[in-house]
Amino acid sequence: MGYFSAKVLANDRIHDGVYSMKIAAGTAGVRPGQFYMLMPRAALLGRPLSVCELGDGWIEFCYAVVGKGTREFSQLRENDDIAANGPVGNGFDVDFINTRKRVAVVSGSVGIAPFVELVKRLTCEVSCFCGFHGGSYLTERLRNVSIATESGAEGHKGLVTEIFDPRGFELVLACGSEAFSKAVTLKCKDAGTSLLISLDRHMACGVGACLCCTCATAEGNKRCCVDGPVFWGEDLTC
Amino acid sequence: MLKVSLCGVELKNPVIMASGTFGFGREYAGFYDLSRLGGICTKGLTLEPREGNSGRRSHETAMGMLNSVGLQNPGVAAFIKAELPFMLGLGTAVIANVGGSEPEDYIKSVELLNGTGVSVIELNISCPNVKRGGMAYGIKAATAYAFVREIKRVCKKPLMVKLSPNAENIIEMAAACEDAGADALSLINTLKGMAVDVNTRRPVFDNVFAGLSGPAVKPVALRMVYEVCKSVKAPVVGIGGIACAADVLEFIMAGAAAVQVGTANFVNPMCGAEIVDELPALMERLGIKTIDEVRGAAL
Ligand SMILES: Cc1cc2nc3c(=O)[nH]c(=O)nc-3n(C[C@H](O)[C@H](O)[C@H](O)COP(=O)(O)OP(=O)(O)OC[C@H]3O[C@@H](n4cnc5c(N)ncnc54)[C@H](O)[C@@H]3O)c2cc1C
Ligand SMILES: Cc1cc2nc3c(=O)[nH]c(=O)nc-3n(C[C@H](O)[C@H](O)[C@H](O)COP(=O)(O)O)c2cc1C
Ligand code: FES
Repeated sequence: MGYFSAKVLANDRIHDGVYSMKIAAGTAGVRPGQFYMLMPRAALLGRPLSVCELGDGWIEFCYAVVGKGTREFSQLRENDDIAANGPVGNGFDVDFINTRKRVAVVSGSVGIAPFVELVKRLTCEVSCFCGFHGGSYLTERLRNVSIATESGAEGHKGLVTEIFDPRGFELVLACGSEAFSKAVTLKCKDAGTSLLISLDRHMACGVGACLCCTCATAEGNKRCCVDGPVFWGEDLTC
Repeated sequence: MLKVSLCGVELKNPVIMASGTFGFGREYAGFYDLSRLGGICTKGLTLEPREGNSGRRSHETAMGMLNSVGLQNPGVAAFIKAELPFMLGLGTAVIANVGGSEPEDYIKSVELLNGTGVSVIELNISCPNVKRGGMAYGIKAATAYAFVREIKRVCKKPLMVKLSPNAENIIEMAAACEDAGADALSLINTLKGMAVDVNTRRPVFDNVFAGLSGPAVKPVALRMVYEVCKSVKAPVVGIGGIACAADVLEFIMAGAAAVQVGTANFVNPMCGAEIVDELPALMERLGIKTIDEVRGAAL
């Protein structure tokens, strides 16, 4: 909790350019959808990574190697130390979601990560729609999954938004890139289906102080890091 | 050992948290006891509430970062009502950072703050992130002189003017502000910079330009503090890339009365407390008994 140094327990490649890293940390009260700011040594700012799965004394993150910080993470080995701050953010309210009858989970690429722990805790009827560029990963840890890949390597060839229809669901849960988030938010607005979406914003402090991560809502700017990252789709104006 | 005095205000130590990097203190209160700090500067306040800039707001650079937040704040009146009581209870000096566009707005903001418990007003004439965020007053010494005089006339608190490294001539700028009645000077604000996204082939920021801060700017900041300390009598607060106790001493030895820590808070939310802890140990190792003893040693 808070700012701490953790031991890396495992750090394995699970797909081309995608890694799963477990760190030793307490997990009491941590919610799926919350994230940690993990601090690279060779770069300045923390990198936000979502809780993928929680266990007894460990937290798992799944991350795509996209730049300097995540490349450094991918080179960490068992017993290395990493500095972290968290958990940060509101996360998903599992009890509330479980009061809904039919729930859809929609993810773009590594936006699938927060849904591993979440789906584990869901007792309601859930259908998952997961989009990838190339092949899929982590889907075996969800339930009732439909896959879309842009390359056509697996499932539907094309975008996940093409195989997912919000009508018929009481609640949609989503996480992906900014472009993905825009498309899903529009789709749910059109269909009149409630949406809880975890947004992706560039962050600096990860504690709510710098106002670098804001997103526009009906009630004015909110901070993605501490007011989110999970927002109601209908509140977003961006 | 660590006590310093800044234009009549006693600070427990020379470590102040910089404007825009520490919110209104609330966000860091869970990390450590903020009464250990010398002081906290508020996020830049304007008379009216502001939503700040559109588009991306931060971008990491080599040992630094660019920001384009653009003075998002709840407005002075809302600050006084909702944030200041909490800040005044923290047991550290509160410095209100005031920005704006029109001189009348600055004047009204200062008048509102005159009646509060803030220790110092820091006048931001150096924000590069809003078209009229005060930067207009921070480039030419003559413009700054006229502006600071006007503010000084209404300001009942010690007035600290925050200078921009983008000033035409930092020495003339500092002298002009001192002549106009500034009780202290703080520098530097962020350096004007930019970044291009090679994927979109467009500037990263909607505003094109943004403010550079962090360890990357420290040598430039230190040089400017040194030059200004050589040429003015007013106390100078050094800002720019400070991240550890040794950095603090460098600025003090270059003549600074105190320092502000900004971007380092993002790298390590505990850094304020860690610097305050490290300072006495480092001073002891270097055979330094008080901050005052080494101030300006490098001048
Ligand atoms: C709340 C939240 C949760 C996230 N969870 C995950 C996750 O579980 N798995 C995962 O793979 N990725 C996740 N991301 C995205 C992840 O933070 C970025 O991919 C990562 O910061 C890139 O760092 P880098 O140094 O490798 O890239 P660089 O491009 O070198 O990073 C430069 C700077 O830009 C920032 N940055 C770059 N891309 C992004 C991005 N897409 N989002 C936010 N900041 C970015 C970095 O943090 C850094 O400050 C999440 C983002 C947010 C906001
Ligand atoms: C995200 C961010 C927001 C800032 N906002 C303000 C502001 O509102 N008013 C101001 O005077 N300076 C502002 N600054 C400038 C800092 O107070 C400081 O002068 C500058 O960042 C250099 O110090 P540093 O390298 O320690 O960060 C801001 C800096 C950052 C990084
Ligand atoms: S990252 Fe600083 S307020 Fe969210």
